[in-house]
Amino acid sequence: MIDQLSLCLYKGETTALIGPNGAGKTTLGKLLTGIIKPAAGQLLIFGEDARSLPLSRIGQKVGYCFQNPRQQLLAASVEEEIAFGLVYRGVRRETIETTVDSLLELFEIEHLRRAFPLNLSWGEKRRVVLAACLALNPQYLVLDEPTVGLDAERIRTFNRVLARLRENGIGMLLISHDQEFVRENAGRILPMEGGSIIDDLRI
Amino acid sequence: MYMLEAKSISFRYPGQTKLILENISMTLEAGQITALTGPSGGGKSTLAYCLSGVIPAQIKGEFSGWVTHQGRVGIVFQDADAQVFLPTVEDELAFGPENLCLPRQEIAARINGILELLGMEDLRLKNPARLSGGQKQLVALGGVLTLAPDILVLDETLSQLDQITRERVKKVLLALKNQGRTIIMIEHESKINDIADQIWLLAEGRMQRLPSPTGGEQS
Repeated sequence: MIDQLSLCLYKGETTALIGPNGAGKTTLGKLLTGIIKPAAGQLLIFGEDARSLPLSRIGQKVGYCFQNPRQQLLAASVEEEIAFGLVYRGVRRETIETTVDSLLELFEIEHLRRAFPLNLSWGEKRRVVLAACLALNPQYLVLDEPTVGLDAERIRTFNRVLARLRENGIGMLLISHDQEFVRENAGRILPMEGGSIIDDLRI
Repeated sequence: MYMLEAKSISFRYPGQTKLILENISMTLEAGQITALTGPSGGGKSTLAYCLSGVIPAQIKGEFSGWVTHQGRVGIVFQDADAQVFLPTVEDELAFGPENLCLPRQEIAARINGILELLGMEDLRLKNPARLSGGQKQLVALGGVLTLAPDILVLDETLSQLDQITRERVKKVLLALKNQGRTIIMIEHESKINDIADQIWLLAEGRMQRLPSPTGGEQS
Protein backbone atom coordinates (compact mmCIF):
# COMPACT_ATOMS: atom_id res chain seq x y z
CA MET A 1 0.00 0.00 0.00
CA ILE A 2 2.84 2.36 0.91
CA ASP A 3 6.36 1.78 -0.37
CA GLN A 4 9.51 3.65 0.63
CA LEU A 5 7.78 6.78 1.78
CA SER A 6 9.83 9.43 3.60
CA LEU A 7 8.21 12.44 5.18
CA CYS A 8 8.72 15.07 7.86
CA LEU A 9 5.80 16.79 9.53
CA TYR A 10 6.55 19.80 11.67
CA LYS A 11 5.15 20.96 14.97
CA GLY A 12 3.08 24.11 14.63
CA GLU A 13 2.45 23.54 10.94
CA THR A 14 -0.88 22.58 9.31
CA THR A 15 -0.41 20.12 6.48
CA ALA A 16 -3.12 18.78 4.21
CA LEU A 17 -2.90 15.32 2.68
CA ILE A 18 -5.00 15.12 -0.47
CA GLY A 19 -5.44 12.65 -3.28
CA PRO A 20 -7.80 10.24 -4.99
CA ASN A 21 -9.70 7.50 -3.18
CA GLY A 22 -7.43 4.58 -2.39
CA ALA A 23 -4.22 6.62 -2.56
CA GLY A 24 -3.20 5.55 0.94
CA LYS A 25 -4.07 8.71 2.89
CA THR A 26 -5.86 7.03 5.77
CA THR A 27 -3.25 4.27 5.88
CA LEU A 28 -0.52 6.91 6.16
CA GLY A 29 -2.46 8.72 8.89
CA LYS A 30 -2.74 5.48 10.89
CA LEU A 31 0.97 4.73 10.39
CA LEU A 32 1.94 8.19 11.62
CA THR A 33 -0.07 7.76 14.81
CA GLY A 34 1.15 4.23 15.54
CA ILE A 35 -2.26 2.63 15.02
CA ILE A 36 -0.65 0.39 12.42
CA LYS A 37 3.04 -0.52 12.38
CA PRO A 38 5.25 -0.20 9.29
CA ALA A 39 6.57 -3.40 7.75
CA ALA A 40 9.96 -1.71 7.34
CA GLY A 41 11.55 1.66 7.96
CA GLN A 42 11.50 3.95 10.94
CA LEU A 43 8.92 6.26 12.41
CA LEU A 44 9.93 8.94 14.90
CA ILE A 45 7.22 10.72 16.85
CA PHE A 46 8.53 13.83 18.58
CA GLY A 47 12.00 12.31 18.23
CA GLU A 48 11.18 8.93 19.77
CA ASP A 49 11.11 5.64 17.88
CA ALA A 50 7.45 4.66 17.60
CA ARG A 51 8.33 0.96 17.88
CA SER A 52 9.32 1.50 21.50
CA LEU A 53 6.30 3.67 22.33
CA PRO A 54 3.04 2.15 23.56
CA LEU A 55 -0.08 3.57 21.96
CA SER A 56 -0.99 5.31 25.20
CA ARG A 57 2.27 7.31 25.15
CA ILE A 58 1.73 8.30 21.52
CA GLY A 59 -1.84 9.25 22.40
CA GLN A 60 -0.54 11.71 24.99
CA LYS A 61 1.07 13.74 22.24
CA VAL A 62 -0.86 12.99 19.06
CA GLY A 63 -4.64 13.12 18.73
CA TYR A 64 -6.31 11.15 15.97
CA CYS A 65 -9.86 11.37 14.62
CA PHE A 66 -10.94 8.40 12.50
CA GLN A 67 -12.59 8.84 9.14
CA ASN A 68 -15.60 6.96 10.50
CA PRO A 69 -16.43 8.48 13.89
CA ARG A 70 -18.43 5.42 14.87
CA GLN A 71 -15.17 3.46 15.19
CA GLN A 72 -13.99 5.79 17.92
CA LEU A 73 -17.02 5.98 20.20
CA LEU A 74 -17.18 3.76 23.25
CA ALA A 75 -18.92 5.53 26.12
CA ALA A 76 -22.56 5.48 27.21
CA SER A 77 -23.05 9.23 26.96
CA VAL A 78 -21.53 12.18 25.13
CA GLU A 79 -20.14 13.73 28.32
CA GLU A 80 -18.51 10.44 29.29
CA GLU A 81 -17.03 10.16 25.80
CA ILE A 82 -15.40 13.58 26.03
CA ALA A 83 -14.24 12.96 29.59
CA PHE A 84 -12.94 9.45 28.95
CA GLY A 85 -9.31 10.26 28.24
CA LEU A 86 -9.10 12.79 31.07
CA VAL A 87 -10.53 10.30 33.57
CA TYR A 88 -8.02 7.72 32.36
CA ARG A 89 -5.21 10.22 32.98
CA GLY A 90 -6.41 10.90 36.53
CA VAL A 91 -7.24 14.55 35.95
CA ARG A 92 -9.14 16.29 38.79
CA ARG A 93 -12.91 16.04 38.57
CA GLU A 94 -13.44 19.82 38.58
CA THR A 95 -11.04 20.23 35.67
CA ILE A 96 -12.76 17.45 33.74
CA GLU A 97 -16.17 19.07 34.27
CA THR A 98 -14.93 22.48 33.13
CA THR A 99 -13.24 20.98 30.06
CA VAL A 100 -16.30 18.96 29.11
CA ASP A 101 -18.62 21.96 29.58
CA SER A 102 -16.49 24.22 27.42
CA LEU A 103 -16.15 21.65 24.62
CA LEU A 104 -19.87 20.87 24.64
CA GLU A 105 -20.49 24.59 24.21
CA LEU A 106 -17.80 25.03 21.55
CA PHE A 107 -19.19 22.26 19.35
CA GLU A 108 -22.84 23.17 20.11
CA ILE A 109 -23.69 19.78 21.55
CA GLU A 110 -24.74 20.77 25.07
CA HIS A 111 -28.22 19.40 24.36
CA LEU A 112 -26.62 16.01 23.64
CA ARG A 113 -24.72 15.79 26.94
CA ARG A 114 -26.52 12.65 28.11
CA ALA A 115 -27.27 11.19 24.68
CA PHE A 116 -25.95 7.77 23.66
CA PRO A 117 -23.24 8.61 21.11
CA LEU A 118 -23.97 5.73 18.73
CA ASN A 119 -27.55 7.00 18.29
CA LEU A 120 -26.41 10.41 17.06
CA SER A 121 -26.27 11.56 13.45
CA TRP A 122 -22.95 11.24 11.62
CA GLY A 123 -22.26 14.96 11.98
CA GLU A 124 -23.06 14.92 15.69
CA LYS A 125 -20.82 11.87 16.17
CA ARG A 126 -18.10 13.76 14.31
CA ARG A 127 -18.39 16.72 16.69
CA VAL A 128 -18.28 14.45 19.74
CA VAL A 129 -15.13 12.75 18.48
CA LEU A 130 -13.46 16.08 17.76
CA ALA A 131 -14.36 17.32 21.23
CA ALA A 132 -13.00 14.16 22.85
CA CYS A 133 -9.79 14.51 20.85
CA LEU A 134 -9.27 18.15 21.84
CA ALA A 135 -10.05 17.44 25.51
CA LEU A 136 -6.65 15.78 25.76
CA ASN A 137 -4.73 18.86 24.59
CA PRO A 138 -2.65 17.04 21.98
CA GLN A 139 0.49 18.65 20.62
CA TYR A 140 -0.30 17.34 17.17
CA LEU A 141 -3.59 16.34 15.54
CA VAL A 142 -4.34 13.95 12.70
CA LEU A 143 -7.85 14.53 11.40
CA ASP A 144 -9.21 12.15 8.76
CA GLU A 145 -12.02 13.76 6.73
CA PRO A 146 -13.11 15.94 9.66
CA THR A 147 -15.70 17.96 7.73
CA VAL A 148 -17.75 15.03 6.39
CA GLY A 149 -21.18 15.25 7.95
CA LEU A 150 -20.77 18.85 9.11
CA ASP A 151 -22.94 21.61 7.68
CA ALA A 152 -21.44 24.87 6.42
CA GLU A 153 -22.02 26.75 9.67
CA ARG A 154 -20.38 24.06 11.77
CA ILE A 155 -17.43 23.88 9.37
CA ARG A 156 -16.95 27.61 9.90
CA THR A 157 -17.00 27.07 13.67
CA PHE A 158 -14.51 24.27 13.29
CA ASN A 159 -12.23 26.46 11.16
CA ARG A 160 -12.18 29.01 13.98
CA VAL A 161 -11.26 26.26 16.44
CA LEU A 162 -8.41 25.12 14.22
CA ALA A 163 -7.20 28.70 13.80
CA ARG A 164 -7.03 29.06 17.56
CA LEU A 165 -5.11 25.80 17.86
CA ARG A 166 -2.63 27.02 15.26
CA GLU A 167 -2.12 30.22 17.25
CA ASN A 168 -1.27 28.02 20.22
CA GLY A 169 1.33 26.15 18.22
CA ILE A 170 -0.58 22.91 17.67
CA GLY A 171 0.43 21.17 14.46
CA MET A 172 -1.99 19.12 12.40
CA LEU A 173 -2.35 16.81 9.45
CA LEU A 174 -5.67 17.19 7.66
CA ILE A 175 -6.73 14.35 5.40
CA SER A 176 -9.52 15.78 3.31
CA HIS A 177 -11.33 15.93 -0.03
CA ASP A 178 -12.84 19.26 0.98
CA GLN A 179 -10.87 21.72 -1.12
CA GLU A 180 -12.33 24.78 0.56
CA PHE A 181 -11.49 23.43 4.01
CA VAL A 182 -7.93 22.67 2.87
CA ARG A 183 -7.49 26.14 1.39
CA GLU A 184 -8.78 27.73 4.59
CA ASN A 185 -6.47 25.85 6.93
CA ALA A 186 -3.39 24.36 5.31
CA GLY A 187 -0.03 26.03 4.85
CA ARG A 188 1.41 22.94 3.19
CA ILE A 189 -0.27 20.48 0.85
CA LEU A 190 0.95 16.96 0.12
CA PRO A 191 -0.80 15.32 -2.84
CA MET A 192 -0.71 11.55 -2.58
CA GLU A 193 -1.24 8.92 -5.24
CA GLY A 194 -0.66 5.17 -5.40
CA GLY A 195 0.94 5.06 -1.96
CA SER A 196 3.45 7.85 -2.66
CA ILE A 197 3.56 11.55 -1.96
CA ILE A 198 3.97 13.12 -5.36
CA ASP A 199 4.52 16.75 -4.44
CA ASP A 200 5.11 19.10 -1.51
CA LEU A 201 3.42 22.46 -1.93
CA ARG A 202 3.83 25.48 0.34
CA ILE A 203 0.95 27.95 0.29
CA MET B 1 -48.73 9.97 -10.40
CA TYR B 2 -45.90 10.47 -7.92
CA MET B 3 -43.12 7.91 -7.64
CA LEU B 4 -42.96 8.53 -3.91
CA GLU B 5 -45.37 10.33 -1.65
CA ALA B 6 -44.78 10.97 2.03
CA LYS B 7 -47.63 12.40 4.07
CA SER B 8 -47.48 13.85 7.57
CA ILE B 9 -44.38 11.93 8.65
CA SER B 10 -43.46 12.39 12.28
CA PHE B 11 -40.86 10.42 14.18
CA ARG B 12 -39.33 10.31 17.63
CA TYR B 13 -36.45 8.00 18.62
CA PRO B 14 -36.93 5.89 21.78
CA GLY B 15 -36.04 7.81 24.91
CA GLN B 16 -36.16 11.20 23.19
CA THR B 17 -38.66 13.87 24.18
CA LYS B 18 -38.39 15.85 20.98
CA LEU B 19 -39.72 14.87 17.56
CA ILE B 20 -36.88 14.67 15.07
CA LEU B 21 -39.36 14.85 12.20
CA GLU B 22 -42.59 16.77 12.52
CA ASN B 23 -45.43 16.51 10.03
CA ILE B 24 -43.23 16.14 6.95
CA SER B 25 -44.90 15.82 3.58
CA MET B 26 -43.18 15.60 0.23
CA THR B 27 -43.56 14.12 -3.22
CA LEU B 28 -41.00 12.85 -5.69
CA GLU B 29 -41.64 12.51 -9.39
CA ALA B 30 -40.10 10.21 -11.96
CA GLY B 31 -37.01 11.50 -13.71
CA GLN B 32 -36.20 14.01 -11.00
CA ILE B 33 -33.23 14.62 -8.71
CA THR B 34 -34.13 16.12 -5.35
CA ALA B 35 -31.53 17.55 -3.00
CA LEU B 36 -32.16 17.49 0.73
CA THR B 37 -29.95 19.73 2.80
CA GLY B 38 -29.90 21.13 6.31
CA PRO B 39 -27.91 21.37 9.52
CA SER B 40 -26.19 18.42 11.12
CA GLY B 41 -28.56 16.50 13.40
CA GLY B 42 -31.60 17.99 11.68
CA GLY B 43 -33.20 14.68 10.73
CA LYS B 44 -32.06 14.16 7.15
CA SER B 45 -30.85 10.59 7.55
CA THR B 46 -33.93 9.82 9.65
CA LEU B 47 -36.13 11.06 6.80
CA ALA B 48 -34.12 8.91 4.36
CA TYR B 49 -34.86 5.88 6.57
CA CYS B 50 -38.58 6.77 6.58
CA LEU B 51 -38.73 7.20 2.81
CA SER B 52 -37.00 3.86 2.22
CA GLY B 53 -38.96 1.91 4.82
CA VAL B 54 -36.02 1.26 7.14
CA ILE B 55 -38.17 3.18 9.62
CA PRO B 56 -40.40 1.69 10.95
CA ALA B 57 -39.38 -1.80 9.75
CA GLN B 58 -35.88 -1.91 11.28
CA ILE B 59 -35.54 1.12 13.52
CA LYS B 60 -38.01 1.42 16.38
CA GLY B 61 -39.55 4.61 17.65
CA GLU B 62 -42.79 6.58 17.43
CA PHE B 63 -43.62 6.78 13.74
CA SER B 64 -46.74 8.29 12.25
CA GLY B 65 -47.84 9.22 8.76
CA TRP B 66 -47.41 7.17 5.62
CA VAL B 67 -45.16 6.67 2.63
CA THR B 68 -46.21 5.18 -0.69
CA HIS B 69 -44.00 4.50 -3.68
CA GLN B 70 -44.14 3.01 -7.14
CA GLY B 71 -41.49 0.36 -7.72
CA ARG B 72 -38.39 -0.52 -5.70
CA VAL B 73 -36.50 1.81 -3.38
CA GLY B 74 -32.75 1.51 -2.87
CA ILE B 75 -30.90 3.35 -0.11
CA VAL B 76 -27.17 3.99 0.20
CA PHE B 77 -26.36 4.69 3.84
CA GLN B 78 -24.08 7.51 4.96
CA ASP B 79 -21.94 4.96 6.77
CA ALA B 80 -20.74 2.52 4.12
CA ASP B 81 -19.35 0.24 6.83
CA ALA B 82 -22.96 -0.47 7.81
CA GLN B 83 -23.80 -1.68 4.32
CA VAL B 84 -20.76 -3.51 3.03
CA PHE B 85 -20.08 -6.94 4.50
CA LEU B 86 -19.05 -9.53 1.89
CA PRO B 87 -15.55 -10.84 1.08
CA THR B 88 -15.19 -9.22 -2.34
CA VAL B 89 -16.59 -6.25 -4.22
CA GLU B 90 -18.01 -8.65 -6.80
CA ASP B 91 -19.90 -10.50 -4.05
CA GLU B 92 -21.29 -7.17 -2.81
CA LEU B 93 -22.65 -6.30 -6.24
CA ALA B 94 -24.03 -9.80 -6.76
CA PHE B 95 -25.80 -10.03 -3.42
CA GLY B 96 -28.96 -8.10 -4.30
CA PRO B 97 -29.62 -9.67 -7.73
CA GLU B 98 -28.88 -13.15 -6.32
CA ASN B 99 -31.52 -12.59 -3.68
CA LEU B 100 -33.93 -11.56 -6.42
CA CYS B 101 -33.16 -14.96 -8.05
CA LEU B 102 -32.11 -13.38 -11.34
CA PRO B 103 -30.45 -15.66 -13.94
CA ARG B 104 -26.68 -15.95 -13.59
CA GLN B 105 -25.95 -14.31 -16.93
CA GLU B 106 -28.11 -11.36 -15.95
CA ILE B 107 -26.28 -11.01 -12.64
CA ALA B 108 -22.89 -11.16 -14.36
CA ALA B 109 -23.97 -8.55 -16.90
CA ARG B 110 -25.20 -6.21 -14.18
CA ILE B 111 -21.98 -6.59 -12.17
CA ASN B 112 -19.80 -5.94 -15.21
CA GLY B 113 -21.91 -2.95 -16.18
CA ILE B 114 -21.83 -1.32 -12.75
CA LEU B 115 -18.12 -1.96 -12.25
CA GLU B 116 -17.43 -0.21 -15.53
CA LEU B 117 -19.93 2.59 -14.91
CA LEU B 118 -18.36 3.49 -11.56
CA GLY B 119 -14.77 2.87 -12.67
CA MET B 120 -14.28 0.04 -10.18
CA GLU B 121 -13.11 -2.79 -12.47
CA ASP B 122 -9.76 -3.05 -10.67
CA LEU B 123 -11.57 -3.47 -7.34
CA ARG B 124 -13.63 -6.50 -8.42
CA LEU B 125 -11.85 -9.09 -6.29
CA LYS B 126 -10.76 -6.77 -3.48
CA ASN B 127 -12.03 -7.14 0.06
CA PRO B 128 -14.31 -4.16 0.70
CA ALA B 129 -13.24 -4.02 4.35
CA ARG B 130 -9.72 -3.14 3.18
CA LEU B 131 -10.79 -0.35 0.84
CA SER B 132 -10.65 3.36 1.54
CA GLY B 133 -13.74 5.17 2.83
CA GLY B 134 -14.53 6.63 -0.57
CA GLN B 135 -14.08 3.29 -2.32
CA LYS B 136 -16.43 1.65 0.19
CA GLN B 137 -19.01 4.32 -0.59
CA LEU B 138 -18.71 3.46 -4.28
CA VAL B 139 -19.12 -0.23 -3.51
CA ALA B 140 -22.23 0.46 -1.43
CA LEU B 141 -23.64 2.53 -4.32
CA GLY B 142 -22.76 -0.22 -6.80
CA GLY B 143 -24.47 -2.84 -4.63
CA VAL B 144 -27.68 -0.81 -4.73
CA LEU B 145 -27.46 0.01 -8.44
CA THR B 146 -27.25 -3.68 -9.40
CA LEU B 147 -30.76 -3.95 -7.97
CA ALA B 148 -31.92 -1.39 -10.57
CA PRO B 149 -34.15 0.47 -8.12
CA ASP B 150 -36.79 2.87 -9.43
CA ILE B 151 -36.16 5.24 -6.54
CA LEU B 152 -32.69 5.90 -5.16
CA VAL B 153 -32.10 7.44 -1.73
CA LEU B 154 -28.48 8.56 -1.31
CA ASP B 155 -27.29 9.69 2.11
CA GLU B 156 -24.12 11.79 1.63
CA THR B 157 -22.85 9.34 -0.95
CA LEU B 158 -20.55 11.93 -2.52
CA SER B 159 -19.02 13.11 0.75
CA GLN B 160 -15.91 10.93 0.77
CA LEU B 161 -15.33 10.76 -2.96
CA ASP B 162 -12.49 12.59 -4.67
CA GLN B 163 -13.41 15.26 -7.20
CA ILE B 164 -12.99 13.10 -10.31
CA THR B 165 -15.03 10.23 -8.89
CA ARG B 166 -17.68 12.63 -7.65
CA GLU B 167 -18.17 14.06 -11.14
CA ARG B 168 -18.33 10.54 -12.55
CA VAL B 169 -21.05 9.57 -10.09
CA LYS B 170 -23.00 12.75 -10.87
CA LYS B 171 -22.95 11.80 -14.57
CA VAL B 172 -24.28 8.36 -13.63
CA LEU B 173 -27.06 9.94 -11.62
CA LEU B 174 -27.99 12.26 -14.47
CA ALA B 175 -28.14 9.25 -16.81
CA LEU B 176 -30.40 7.44 -14.34
CA LYS B 177 -32.61 10.50 -14.08
CA ASN B 178 -32.90 10.61 -17.87
CA GLN B 179 -33.99 6.97 -17.77
CA GLY B 180 -36.88 8.09 -15.56
CA ARG B 181 -35.48 7.06 -12.18
CA THR B 182 -36.23 9.10 -9.10
CA ILE B 183 -33.31 10.22 -6.94
CA ILE B 184 -33.16 11.98 -3.61
CA MET B 185 -29.74 13.01 -2.35
CA ILE B 186 -28.82 14.20 1.10
CA GLU B 187 -25.82 16.47 0.91
CA HIS B 188 -24.59 19.25 3.13
CA GLU B 189 -22.93 21.33 0.55
CA SER B 190 -23.69 22.77 -2.80
CA LYS B 191 -22.04 19.72 -4.40
CA ILE B 192 -25.17 18.78 -6.28
CA ASN B 193 -26.96 22.04 -6.94
CA ASP B 194 -25.83 21.73 -10.56
CA ILE B 195 -27.81 18.50 -11.05
CA ALA B 196 -30.75 18.95 -8.63
CA ASP B 197 -34.21 19.74 -9.95
CA GLN B 198 -35.47 20.76 -6.54
CA ILE B 199 -33.88 21.51 -3.19
CA TRP B 200 -35.47 21.00 0.21
CA LEU B 201 -34.16 22.25 3.54
CA LEU B 202 -34.84 20.15 6.61
CA ALA B 203 -34.20 21.99 9.85
CA GLU B 204 -35.68 21.60 13.33
CA GLY B 205 -37.76 18.69 12.00
CA ARG B 206 -39.55 20.82 9.39
CA MET B 207 -39.25 20.99 5.61
CA GLN B 208 -38.97 24.02 3.42
CA ARG B 209 -38.53 24.08 -0.33
CA LEU B 210 -35.74 26.38 -1.48
CA PRO B 211 -35.46 28.19 -4.81
CA SER B 212 -34.51 25.72 -7.47
CA PRO B 213 -31.07 26.02 -9.04
CA THR B 214 -32.81 27.32 -12.17
CA GLY B 215 -34.42 30.10 -10.12
CA GLY B 216 -37.86 28.54 -9.73
CA GLU B 217 -40.44 29.16 -7.04
CA GLN B 218 -40.02 28.84 -3.32
CA SER B 219 -42.86 27.55 -1.17
